[in-house]
Amino acid sequence: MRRLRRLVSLSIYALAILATAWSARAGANEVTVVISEDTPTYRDVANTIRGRLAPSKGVSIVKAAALDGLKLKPPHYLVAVGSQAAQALATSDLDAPMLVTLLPKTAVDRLIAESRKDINPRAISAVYLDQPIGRQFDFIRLILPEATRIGVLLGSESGKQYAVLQAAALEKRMRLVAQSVGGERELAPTLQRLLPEIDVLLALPDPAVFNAGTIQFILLASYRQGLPLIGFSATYVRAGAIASLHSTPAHIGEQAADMLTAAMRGGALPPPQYPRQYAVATNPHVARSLGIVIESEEAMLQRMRALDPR
Amino acid sequence: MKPHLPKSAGLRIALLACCISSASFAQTSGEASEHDFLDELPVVLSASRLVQPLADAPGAVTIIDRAMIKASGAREIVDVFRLVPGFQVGMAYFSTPVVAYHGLADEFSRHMQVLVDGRSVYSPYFLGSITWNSLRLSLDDIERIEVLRGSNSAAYGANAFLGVINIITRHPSQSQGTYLSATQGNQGISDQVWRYGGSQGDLHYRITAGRRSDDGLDNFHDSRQAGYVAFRGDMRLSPRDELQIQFGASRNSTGAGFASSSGDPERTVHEKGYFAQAVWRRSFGPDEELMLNAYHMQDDSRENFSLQGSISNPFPFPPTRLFTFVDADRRTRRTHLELQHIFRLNPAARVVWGLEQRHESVVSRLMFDTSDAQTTNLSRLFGNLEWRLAPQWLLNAGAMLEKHSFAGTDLAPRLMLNFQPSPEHTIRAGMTTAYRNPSLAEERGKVKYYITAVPPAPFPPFQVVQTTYSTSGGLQPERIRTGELSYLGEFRRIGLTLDARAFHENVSRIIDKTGSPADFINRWGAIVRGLEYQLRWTPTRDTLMLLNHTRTRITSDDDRIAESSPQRATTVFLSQTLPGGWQLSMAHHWIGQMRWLGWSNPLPLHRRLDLRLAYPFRSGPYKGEVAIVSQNLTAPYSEFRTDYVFDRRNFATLSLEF
Repeated sequence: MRRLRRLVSLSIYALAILATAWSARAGANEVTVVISEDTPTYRDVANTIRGRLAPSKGVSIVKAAALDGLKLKPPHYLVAVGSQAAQALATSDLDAPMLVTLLPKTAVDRLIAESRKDINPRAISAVYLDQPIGRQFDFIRLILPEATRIGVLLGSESGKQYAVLQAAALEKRMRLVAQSVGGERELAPTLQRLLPEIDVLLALPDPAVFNAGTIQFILLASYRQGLPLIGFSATYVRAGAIASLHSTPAHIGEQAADMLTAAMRGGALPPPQYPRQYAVATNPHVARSLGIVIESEEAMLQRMRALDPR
Repeated sequence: MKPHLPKSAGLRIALLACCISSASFAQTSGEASEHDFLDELPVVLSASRLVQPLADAPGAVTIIDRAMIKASGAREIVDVFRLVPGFQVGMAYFSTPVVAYHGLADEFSRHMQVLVDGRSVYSPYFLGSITWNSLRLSLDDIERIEVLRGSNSAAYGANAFLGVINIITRHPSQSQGTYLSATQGNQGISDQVWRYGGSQGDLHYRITAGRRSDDGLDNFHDSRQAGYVAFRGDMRLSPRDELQIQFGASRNSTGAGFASSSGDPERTVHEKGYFAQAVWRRSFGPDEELMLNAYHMQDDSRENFSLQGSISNPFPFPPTRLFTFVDADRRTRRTHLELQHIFRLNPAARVVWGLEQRHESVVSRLMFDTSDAQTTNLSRLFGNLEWRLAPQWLLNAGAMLEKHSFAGTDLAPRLMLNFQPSPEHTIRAGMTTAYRNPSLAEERGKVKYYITAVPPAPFPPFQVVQTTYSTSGGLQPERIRTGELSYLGEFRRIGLTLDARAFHENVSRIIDKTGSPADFINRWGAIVRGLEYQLRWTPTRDTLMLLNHTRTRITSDDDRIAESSPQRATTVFLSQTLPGGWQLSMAHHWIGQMRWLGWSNPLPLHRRLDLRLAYPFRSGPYKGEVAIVSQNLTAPYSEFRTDYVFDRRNFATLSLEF
């Protein structure tokens, strides 16, 4: 009786080991996450994906620079974290559906458009890094209930979004005051024209207008007019924007993992989408100096979620 | 031990800065990517750059912004202070502008600290004064002026006795391109400004050069010409580090003396000076910052002249002739080093603390009867805790410990409690002690005139020494103990702000001269009591209205001191943008009877009306403005002395920016 029990338990162990080995082989490398650089931000996205997917789904993390020589066995999903990774994957001959993360919508759109030119276009989906513009308008209303004239500076890239911005503003019953900036030299006069006409300035991700070199001028000029700037990332809040609504690497990673899970069940990646989750950052010092009373980050986040239940 | 920075320290720091690579700060370009979201950005609105909300300020503050400076029709900075409640502005003899708060001022307005970008422009010469005529900046270079009404030695050291004027110039990134301005008017008014702002990588800079001249008051030899050049460069060394370099130099000549006077003959005083300043800021985040500020300045004045006189002798001898050479040439220097650290102790408390070291020297043969430099060393340790006790209660507790080489060591504390029951209402109550250190001349002045007498032959010439000042030293700093209760109402919905301050200022040990030869002693005391308020209303974007009213009462054993502030002063200011973009502004002042101390006499109540009409225009890349200003449209009135009559001044300014 004792021997039998030992035999059974031994065989159970053996079976378990075999099963693990088999499943590891079968599912080995089902997802390859390619990170642009080996920095905490990119790693956060990759690690969140790995952590959230079932342990049976093998997830390997590769640096974009080490992409050459990678061999894949279908079925397989590729995840690009950041622009360098996305570019590297797009130009590689790896044949697998691709999920792009940590890129703003404009960059994803461009990537998809380019891939369509290929003879054999691959399936591309994405979790955008930026927020839907309507959500940004809701956020502005939450912080500055009396602001109705939303100023934006448009560069060559964000200029293409004008119609979308205008439509969203109409829907939210706000007035969009947009000015195009042709070049860096035009920034000063353009801003001088724009500032007296607006209640708040909303920064948009377009490096032709908002970059480390111009932010000083933009922030100082708007601050002097007593106008707050709403940023699109936590770095803007540190620089002097009063607040931002943005998604963290962990938020993006979770959503990417959920999209991969759905794909593995249903066979295809869900379409590109904006981040579901987001965080709020505020700069109470600048706000107070501008005479604006703002709530705590947590309180604002709760109120945003109540507006946008999902 | 002298903490003396070498003369070229500023330059060396500048060169060093230029050597530091700024490659790490290359800007991204092209298409949007995650780098726009994630890459580090500079902390632009750092702790020291933020304007403190009026409701949190430890005392009454008046902020004068660019629009207001423009609308005021000011030709020189002192004109702007006519719009600050409790202030008196005048022009003393020899075109010396004087600015006072609550009186107690003579031609050397030395009871106020004036800082330009953190650089003190308080001259250590003679009794100490503000060198308003050589500030080396154009009005258009100013971003804003913060006037702290009331004593503030706890944060600004001795000399911030009755107030602090903080002039903050524009960041060069805000004045890029070329700016030209020319002003022409009656009484010889002719001013020109040229400015160029450019950038080179992460460096933004501007160079301003200007000239100002006028004939001064009618019937007096007080015309003035000033020329200056100033440079400010701000460079980002990294997202956290910023270096600001400033240089400036000026050359002035001012008429002095009187046509009919043999002891004070007509002459021209030539002044020249320069400064160099470097400010390094490191921001650790929006609420922590380290700042190092170093500057050096030197001013030279050339004012020497011969005097002749005679004493009659008994008949039949011809008179004895007297000759003397007055060597009033002087050189003043200041070197200043300051470290300031702002940080957050916890979510409710913020701390500012720092150290300062200053070295001053004055060379004046006339004042000290020697060519040796007279020096003063100053060390300061200061700190302020801003503690939000509860959402509605804010406590500001600060103090400065100051060690002065001959005035000794003093502690200047300040305590201010702000209660804000609702966002509209703030009530402040507080008390503070402040000091004014005696000047070098008050402490060590020895003024001797060496007169050569030439009697009629056969008597030989001989020398007479006439001593006019002989100080015994040992002065104590003047002290002021202030209690204040103030109210700030900010009704944003209707664009109305009410700022009222009730004050009780107990001034003691006021230094005055006495005897012959004159000595300086801690002589008087005074109690200054009163109420001042400013009502500011912007009903629409195009309209600004101000109403200032001050009631001051000074009691003192010295009648002159008791009369040194008007008991009542009222100002009404209106600025309106008219259809077509025209801008009209008007300031009307009623200043009660008062007298300035020093070489002055009582002035009757006077009125003054200033008017400005401007037309801004734009044509392609050119932006400009034509403005006409008329100062004192009402009857001529006396400034400083009854015989110093300020007549109407009209001038027109054309400015262009491209």
